[in-house]
Amino acid sequence: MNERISRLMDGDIDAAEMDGLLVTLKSDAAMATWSCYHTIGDALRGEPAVTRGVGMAVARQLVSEPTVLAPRASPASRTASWAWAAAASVAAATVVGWTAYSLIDATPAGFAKAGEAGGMRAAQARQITVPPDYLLAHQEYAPANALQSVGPYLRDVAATTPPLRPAVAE
Amino acid sequence: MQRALRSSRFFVGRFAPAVFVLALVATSARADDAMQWLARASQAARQLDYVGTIVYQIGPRVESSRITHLYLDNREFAKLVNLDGPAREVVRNDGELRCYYPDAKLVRVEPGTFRNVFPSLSVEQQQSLSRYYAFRVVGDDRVGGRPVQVVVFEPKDGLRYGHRFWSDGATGLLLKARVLNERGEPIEQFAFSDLTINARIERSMVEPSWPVVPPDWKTLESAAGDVVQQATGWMVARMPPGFEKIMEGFRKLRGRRERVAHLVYSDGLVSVSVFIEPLTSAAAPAGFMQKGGLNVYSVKQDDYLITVMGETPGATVRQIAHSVTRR
Amino acid sequence: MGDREVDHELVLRAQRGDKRAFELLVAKYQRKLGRLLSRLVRDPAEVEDVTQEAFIKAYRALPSFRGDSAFYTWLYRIAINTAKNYLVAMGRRAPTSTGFDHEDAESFEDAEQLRDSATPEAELLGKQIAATVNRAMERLPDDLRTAITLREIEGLSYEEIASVMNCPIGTVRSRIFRARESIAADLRPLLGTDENRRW
Repeated sequence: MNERISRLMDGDIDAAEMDGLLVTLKSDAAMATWSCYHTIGDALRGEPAVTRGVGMAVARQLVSEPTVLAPRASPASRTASWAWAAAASVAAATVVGWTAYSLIDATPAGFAKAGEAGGMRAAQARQITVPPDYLLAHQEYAPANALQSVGPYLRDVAATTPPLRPAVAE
Repeated sequence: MQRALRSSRFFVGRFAPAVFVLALVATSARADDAMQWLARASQAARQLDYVGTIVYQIGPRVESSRITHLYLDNREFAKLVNLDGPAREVVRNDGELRCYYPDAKLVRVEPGTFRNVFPSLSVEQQQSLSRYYAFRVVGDDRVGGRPVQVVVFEPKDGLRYGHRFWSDGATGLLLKARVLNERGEPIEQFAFSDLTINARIERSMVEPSWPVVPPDWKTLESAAGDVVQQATGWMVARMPPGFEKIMEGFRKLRGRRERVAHLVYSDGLVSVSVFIEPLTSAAAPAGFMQKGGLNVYSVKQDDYLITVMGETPGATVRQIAHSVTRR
Repeated sequence: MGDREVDHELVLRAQRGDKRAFELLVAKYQRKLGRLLSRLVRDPAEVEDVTQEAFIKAYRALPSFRGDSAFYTWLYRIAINTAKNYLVAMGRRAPTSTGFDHEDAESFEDAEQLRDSATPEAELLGKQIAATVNRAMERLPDDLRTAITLREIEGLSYEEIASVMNCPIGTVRSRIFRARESIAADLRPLLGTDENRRW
C-alpha cells in the first residue's frame, strides 16, 4: 500500500486507478504515511514544519461541517477570469487566482535535439548545481531582468539555496 | 561599445534616398515601440515606490515573496522576503545586493546593479531586438481593477524564448510576466498578486532584518568594485545570430583560487554568460540544469570548466558552450 | 498525470462530498501554509488556529474553485485573506482594500522581519525533522538518493528522471519508494509521539 501512496504523490497513476486507490487510503495509517512522505519532501526543500500539524484538528472540524457539494467542474477555461478578494470580508473569501497553464519544464531529452556526438551523453545526463556567484554575476546583464527590480533574484532560491547542512561547500 | 542612437539618425538624414529612408524609419518605428515599451517599464520598476506580493511559478512550484521598493535621491532600494519556502531575504542598497539565509547562517554580498538596461542599450542590441523578436501589442486587459497593456516578444528563431508582459497602463510597471518555451507553453511566471503603487515607503522598510550580521554567521563577499573590462583570451567561435558581446573581463569569485573569465552576450532582451575557470579537481562537473526560463550547461575543455548560463533554451546554451575557444 | 492533476482529482472528489480527499490535501500543504502564515501572524500560539481556519475556509469555498488555477495558488490566496481578516479582527491593523490603490503601504510590514513565529517545541521539532531527514539521506545508496533528490528538489517527473538516470520508469518508481520508506523508518518515531501530531 505504501508504494501506491508513493506513486499517488508523484502522479504516477491513471485517473481510472484513482478511486480504488483512495478507498484504500481511508485508514489512519495510510494518512500518516501520506503525511510522512510529504514531510520528507518539505524537509528536503528546506521547508520544515513550524507548527504542530493541524491535519487532525481540521479533520475533526470537518466532521461537523456541512458537506460541500459542487457540480462537476467544467474544463479549465483558458481566458483569464478572476475576481480580486473583497476588502476585509470575514465570509468565505472570493477567490483570487489567475489562469495558470500547466507549466512544463523542458525534459532533459530536449538537450539532445542539437544532435551532438554520442560521447556527450554522459555529460548531458548529469544535473549540476549552479554556483551562486555565477548566477548573481549573470543576473546583472539581462535587460529583461531589470523590469522586475529585485524580482529575478526569486530564481535564486530554486537554483542556489544553500543545503540544510550549515557548512556550505564553496 | 555603447553609442547614442542619435548618430544613426544623423547618417540616415544625410545620404539615404527616399525609399531607403522610409524603410529605415518604418523599422525604427517598430523598434521604437518595443524600445519605448521596455524603457518605460524599466524606468517604472526603478523609479516608483511600491510594495506588494509576488508569486513566482516554475512548473508546479509556487513561491511567494513580499517586495518593497523605494527610489530616493536617485538611488534604488528594495527588499524581497520569502513568504514560503526556505527563509531568505534579498536587500538592494543602490549598487550593493545582500542575500540573507538565516537557516544556513549565511549572507552573500554582491555588487547588484543592473548593468545593461533600457534605455541605454547599445545600438547593436536594439537592432538585435527588432530583428530577432517580433514585438506586438496584444491587447488590453485588467489586473486588479487597473487597465493593463499586454505585449509579446515573439522569437523569430528557435534559439530564444518568447516573452509575454502585462504592464500597468498608468505607470508602465510590469505586473506580470511569462516566459514561453519553443512550443509556446509557459515555463515560468512572475506576477504581483497584490500591489500598492506610490505607497509611502519608509527607508526602514527596505533595510535588512540583520543590520549587524550575527557573529556565528558566514559572510561571502565577492570582490568589491566593478569588473575590469579586458580581453580574456577566450571567445565563442560560433555564437548564435543576434547575440552581441557586451562585456568581457575577469572576476575574482569567492572560493576560487584563480580568477574566472566572464563574457556576456545579449540580444537586447535576454543575456547569456560564459564563465571559464581553471579546473582544480579531477572530477569534471559537466552537465546541465534548468530552472524555468534559465538554462545552464557546463562542459570540460582541457583544464578548464566552461559554464554557460542564459535565459535561452538549453540547446542554445549548449551550442555556445561547445564553441568556446581560445583566441 | 502530474502533481497538479493529482490535486485536481482530489479537489473534484472533495467537491463531490469526499471529505477524506480534502484531508489528503490538508496533509500535503499544511506545512507550507503554516510556514507562510507564521510569517504574517506574529503570535506563534495563534498560527495553528489561523492555519486551521484557512483550511476550513478553503473547504467551504470549494464550490468556487473551477480548476483554472493550481490548487495551491488558490489555497494560498485564501490563507493570506484569512490572516489579514484575523489581524483586522484582532484590532492590529486598519482594514485596507487589496488591490492597486494609491494609499499607504499595506498591512504586512511585519513580514519585512524575516522570522518564523514558531513555538519553541515546534521549532525544535522542525530542527529534529530536518536533522533526521539529512542523516537518513546521507545513509541512502547513491541511486536512491539521486532519485528522490531529482523528484523532490528538482521536481522532475518519473519520465524525466528515467531519462536522466538512464533506467526504466519502473526502476525510478521503486527507487523513490524505497528512499521514502528508508527515511520514513527514521522519521515515523519522531512524528508519532503525539496523538495530535500523527498527521
